[in-house]
Amino acid sequence: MAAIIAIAVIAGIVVVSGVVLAGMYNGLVRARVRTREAWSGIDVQLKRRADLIPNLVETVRGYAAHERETFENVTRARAMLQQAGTAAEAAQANNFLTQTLRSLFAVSERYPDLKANQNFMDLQNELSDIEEKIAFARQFYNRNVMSYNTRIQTFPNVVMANRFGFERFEFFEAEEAAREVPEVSFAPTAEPPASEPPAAPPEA
Amino acid sequence: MAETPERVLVYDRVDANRRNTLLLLGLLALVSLPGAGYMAAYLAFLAAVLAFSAGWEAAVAAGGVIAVGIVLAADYLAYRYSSALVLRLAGAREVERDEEPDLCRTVENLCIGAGLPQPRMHVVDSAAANAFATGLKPENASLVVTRGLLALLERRELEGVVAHELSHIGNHDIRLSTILAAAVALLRLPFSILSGFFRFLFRLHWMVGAGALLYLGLPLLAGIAFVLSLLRSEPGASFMLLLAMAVPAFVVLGAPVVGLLIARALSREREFLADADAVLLTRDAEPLATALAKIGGAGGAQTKVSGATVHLYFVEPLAADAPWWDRVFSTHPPIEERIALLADMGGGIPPSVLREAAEAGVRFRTVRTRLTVPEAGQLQVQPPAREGESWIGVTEPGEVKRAPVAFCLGQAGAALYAGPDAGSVQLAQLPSGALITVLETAGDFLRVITSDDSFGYIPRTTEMSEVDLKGGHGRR
Repeated sequence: MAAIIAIAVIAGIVVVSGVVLAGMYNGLVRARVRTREAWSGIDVQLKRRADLIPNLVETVRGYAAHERETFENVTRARAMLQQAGTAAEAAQANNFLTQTLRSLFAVSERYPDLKANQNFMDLQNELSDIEEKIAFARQFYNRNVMSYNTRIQTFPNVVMANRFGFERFEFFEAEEAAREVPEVSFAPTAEPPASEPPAAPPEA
Repeated sequence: MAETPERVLVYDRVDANRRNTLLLLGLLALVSLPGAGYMAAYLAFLAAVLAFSAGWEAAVAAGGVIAVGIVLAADYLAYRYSSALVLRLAGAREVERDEEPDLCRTVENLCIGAGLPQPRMHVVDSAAANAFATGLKPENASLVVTRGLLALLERRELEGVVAHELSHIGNHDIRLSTILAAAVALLRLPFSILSGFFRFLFRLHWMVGAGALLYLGLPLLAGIAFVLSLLRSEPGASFMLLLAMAVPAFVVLGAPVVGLLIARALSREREFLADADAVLLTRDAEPLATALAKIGGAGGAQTKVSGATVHLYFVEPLAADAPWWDRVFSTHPPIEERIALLADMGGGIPPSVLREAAEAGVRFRTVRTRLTVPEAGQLQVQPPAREGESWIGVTEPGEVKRAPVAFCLGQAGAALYAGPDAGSVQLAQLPSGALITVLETAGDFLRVITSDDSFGYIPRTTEMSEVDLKGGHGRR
């Protein structure tokens, strides 16, 4: 009789632990998926902005063709963003792009015809809306990252996380050092450096 | 210092919310146990009666069960269709993106920040400043703001209010409130049977009504038996009967009150939670605090509110100087307390800022009786061509904007209809001398807003005279 009770109790413990462990694992997986989805939220907005830039550059170039340096900075920043692999790289590229866009808009202040151009105004509004969306998406993503990173490092989830290879996510933020104009190396998918037109040195 | 929120994400809040829901439901179940026990005992009683005779006595006894069944069914329907019902009751009108681009864009951006699907946007044509959210699931949610709110608040303050409502949606607060409302209605079952519901039951079938009476009356009979047994001094039996009476007494009198108190206290907690979540979302506590101050100053009262929907609004839509027993049952915490907590979270707000906001709200309240005229379809009023005829309204597009015109109803007053149709529900009978503003013409009717912010339709031929509101100006 006692043996049956003992077996029943042990069986009960095994079943309950199994359920709890499964719940923990599933929770981790769900959190990881949510964080990835939050990243794609940022990605969507970054792509939208990148898509608008050629149109913007052409519009401005129609009125201020000789402001070549500004255009090149913007184009370069856009390329950087498209090549960014990790969250930190993307954040840095994003900051850089925001800065170059700001100079572009500052330059356009000197051309009243350009400022009155409807296409330009629409692009400006849309870009500022996307900036706001990027800010919110970044906030959401970072909060997810913080929650997830904390979760996989605290007991008891830490044991399961290490066992099954749950890795930390990077925050979407750039260090202060990203203020200066960085060097850009074009990946093989873009133009090889040898054929880059040497018309004006990038740093001039 | 500001209380550091341990739960950072809306997701985590939802987990906590679910736990709280379970806790609360457990508590309510506890409070409902005597009632449930009584129902079970009544069923046993019914079985006994059936065994005894399957005649009219059994039918009457069964009537009690039918009454309970009707209440349960009504609860379920209310739960399922609460969202559509609430929108209808408030008179909310869905708006498209091009109608309110700034508002929709604000909501869209905040939804990105909160990780929520975008709710459907609605606007209520009321000058009272308030907002609410409805919908049992975030996917089916709707967000409602009043015209008054759009006119009163600046962009950042509106952002704060929208963030607060989105937090309600994300925390599944609406579902929680609906469950609570249903549970409280169930606890009030004995009272409901005694009130107008009782007449309805009687009209259904006299046996159902009689059965409901029996359901309530049994404890009374037990009480009478108890008193009688006391007179005959049989201590054992009397004690049993006392117990038999105490349980129904709690069921009828105690449980509804306790249940309601629990429900309202929880509702207040969720308001604080939504405030905190809104701050997390917008990263700025001050606009929300000034928005609260403004709405507080403006009264925030929306009088056309039923008990079922009062918990959904942004601020308590009842009078600010309500007595303490109203306060204990209020669904929202007092505005001052909410502002104080927000100031804590935001690291302090200068009192001058809050004072200015409150004053702006008060100014809005005095201006708001000069109601708004929508820009599409300006209404020009023509005086009667002949003596004895009434004023008529003619819509002339492109007309220069005029200050809104108020009318004073003539001797006959007017009936206020829900739709431009004499067959629709009559919302009220407006007395002579009531002040209204005409919004637009609709066939043989005029769409109007009354001075207590109800809106509806009155017949075009209503007798009324123009009232000059000095210094009035139209505001969007």
